[in-house]
Amino acid sequence: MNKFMTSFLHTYISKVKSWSFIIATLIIVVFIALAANADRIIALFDDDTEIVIEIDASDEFYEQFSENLFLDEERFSFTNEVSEELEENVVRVEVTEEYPVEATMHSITDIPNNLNNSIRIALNEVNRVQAVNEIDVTEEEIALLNSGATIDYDVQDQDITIGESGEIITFSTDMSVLNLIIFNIGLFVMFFTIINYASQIGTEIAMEKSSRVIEIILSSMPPVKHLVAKILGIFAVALTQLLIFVVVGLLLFSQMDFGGTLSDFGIEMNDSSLQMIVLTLIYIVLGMFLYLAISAMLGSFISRMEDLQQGILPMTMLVIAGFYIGIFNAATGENMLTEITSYIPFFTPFVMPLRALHSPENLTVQYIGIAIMIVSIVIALALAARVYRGSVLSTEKGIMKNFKRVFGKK
Amino acid sequence: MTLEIKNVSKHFGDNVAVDDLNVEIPEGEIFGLLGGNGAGKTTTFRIILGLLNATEGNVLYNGKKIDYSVTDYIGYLPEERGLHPKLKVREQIQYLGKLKGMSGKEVDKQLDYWLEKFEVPENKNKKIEKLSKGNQQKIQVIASIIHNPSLIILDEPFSGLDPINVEILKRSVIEMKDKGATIIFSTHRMEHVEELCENVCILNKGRSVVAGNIDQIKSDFGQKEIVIEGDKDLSYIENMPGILSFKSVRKRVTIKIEDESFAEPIFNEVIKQGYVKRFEVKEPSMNDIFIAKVGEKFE
Repeated sequence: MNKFMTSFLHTYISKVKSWSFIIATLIIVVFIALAANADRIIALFDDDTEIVIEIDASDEFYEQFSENLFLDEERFSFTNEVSEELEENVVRVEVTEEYPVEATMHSITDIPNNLNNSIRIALNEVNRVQAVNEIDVTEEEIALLNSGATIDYDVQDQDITIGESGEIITFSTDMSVLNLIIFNIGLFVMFFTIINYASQIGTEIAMEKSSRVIEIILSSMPPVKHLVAKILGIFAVALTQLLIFVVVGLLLFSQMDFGGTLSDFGIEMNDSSLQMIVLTLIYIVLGMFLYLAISAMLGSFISRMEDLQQGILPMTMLVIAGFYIGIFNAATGENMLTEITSYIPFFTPFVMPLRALHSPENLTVQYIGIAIMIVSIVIALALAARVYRGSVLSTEKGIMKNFKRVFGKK
Repeated sequence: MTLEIKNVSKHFGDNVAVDDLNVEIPEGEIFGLLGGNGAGKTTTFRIILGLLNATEGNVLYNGKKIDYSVTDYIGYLPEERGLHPKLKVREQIQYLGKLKGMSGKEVDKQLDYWLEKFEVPENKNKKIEKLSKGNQQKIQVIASIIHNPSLIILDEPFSGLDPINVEILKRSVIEMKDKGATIIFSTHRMEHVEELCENVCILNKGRSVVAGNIDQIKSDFGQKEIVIEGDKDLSYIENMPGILSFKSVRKRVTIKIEDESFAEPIFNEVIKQGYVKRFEVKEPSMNDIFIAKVGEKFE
């Protein structure tokens, strides 16, 4: 076996065998399993105790009240028969004054919020109708009172949808809700895998440097070969973990009617969804590689483990910034910020999928994004290799001293 | 000629770590590279291994420059000890052995052999961080010789070991030499040098101050030591010519003389006093030579 493979497999196997990897993977697998069985879990915790609402009022009031009472759960029912003693699972609405309505709600336990709201709305409505009748307003006048202002939108570039309560929902052309979900999941996966594995490579390199085992390793193989083997080793660990999640996810979701569930939410799969998935995966892989190289470079500047967090802080800040740009612009779409940051390599993997989400037809931008990433990865690797070679045998304590040693005069 | 260090210099900015070093180490020999702290020993080793580039000069191993095509034949024990603390001994040695081109089976076989030799077979499956410092060092020594290298570089191999383990390590070094390996080691302990090495080089501030065969160095050094044991008061000898120092502790007198020619008049003077239990003219120790040449106090 050649030395590259020895270093690669050593990094890969020791990481995959580690408790931290096994436990972290198991936790996420459990979360995926929980998500796949969310409906069953919700049903498990759903309260199915039946509650009867007893209306203690005149027949006329009861009739008006029942017309306006909308119950959102099947376990709720209502009657105008009032039992002698208040029982558990009974909410008694005692109407003491029918106009203006005054009522007392009696119950032994707390009234569920949604039921409480339904009763209040119905009582208010009965009160309102009675008030309207009292002041003698015509039907037309009531309709006029209830109507809102009529507003028409004429925006050329964007589709405007008016929400039920009048708010404006702006969606760029063709944006699919499923793609938005894919983007969000991709962004979270990218954020956590980069933060996790980029820190790991930084830690690995700093640990080898601080424990001086690196001197024995470098007396056997060239530093750059060792560095690339290590980066690829960690990269393979991350891919293994992603693969486990994808396989478990597919297995679990295949057990349920995923398409049906999506349809229930009004989400439809369209042609751009597959493109979105592929692009997101490409950017996860490229983003991870870029940040692994950056973190390896930063790890090389460190000689003591206690400096590690400080050393990899710039990388953490960039990842967080990229993540926030992605997440906060997900719904609003493309703007000056996302357009500019999508061409800055540190943010490209976070922001380019966002542009794919809003302009799936503009593939040229995506090709540019991928090209930027590939070039940046090559540069970052070359830089990491130079820093690694220059500082790996250094035990200079300060990060800045190491920096000067690498980039200063030889 | 196995290893040749030719006109090697190394500068770190304005600091000269190694200054025009010339050393030739024949095949199958144990060679001692001596020097105080900061003398340039570790830098020299790193240059030999190709971990550092020499500012001037070059190093040849069997007539060729050392690069990664020959590192499988070289074993190296760095001065600063360190292994992956979270790994088990077997995992660590497997990794380092494979990096030297060995197969997993070979590594296992050799590891069992050396663990027995160092009297720690029970540590094979223990995590390195669980081992004592001395035992970690044994593992690190094993890592540097597991692949039966033909050139072994040991940077301070004895530091941190108790006397029993020092003896075990010495036996192992001699065993490797008997198998044909060329061994270079650095140490502060002169008794180890006298016991193991045929040739040495003493570095001071990057420069070679003494180099060559130990016996020759001692002989060339000139200064000798006379030890006299007896009941007589010999304090009057102190002022005789050629005496560099005179020390009397209880019934034992130790005199340093400029060279052996001054020993005879002293001997004649002493026997005038009658019977003495002992009169011995000794070769200088490496310790004396080191102190005289480096001019610094050290252990």
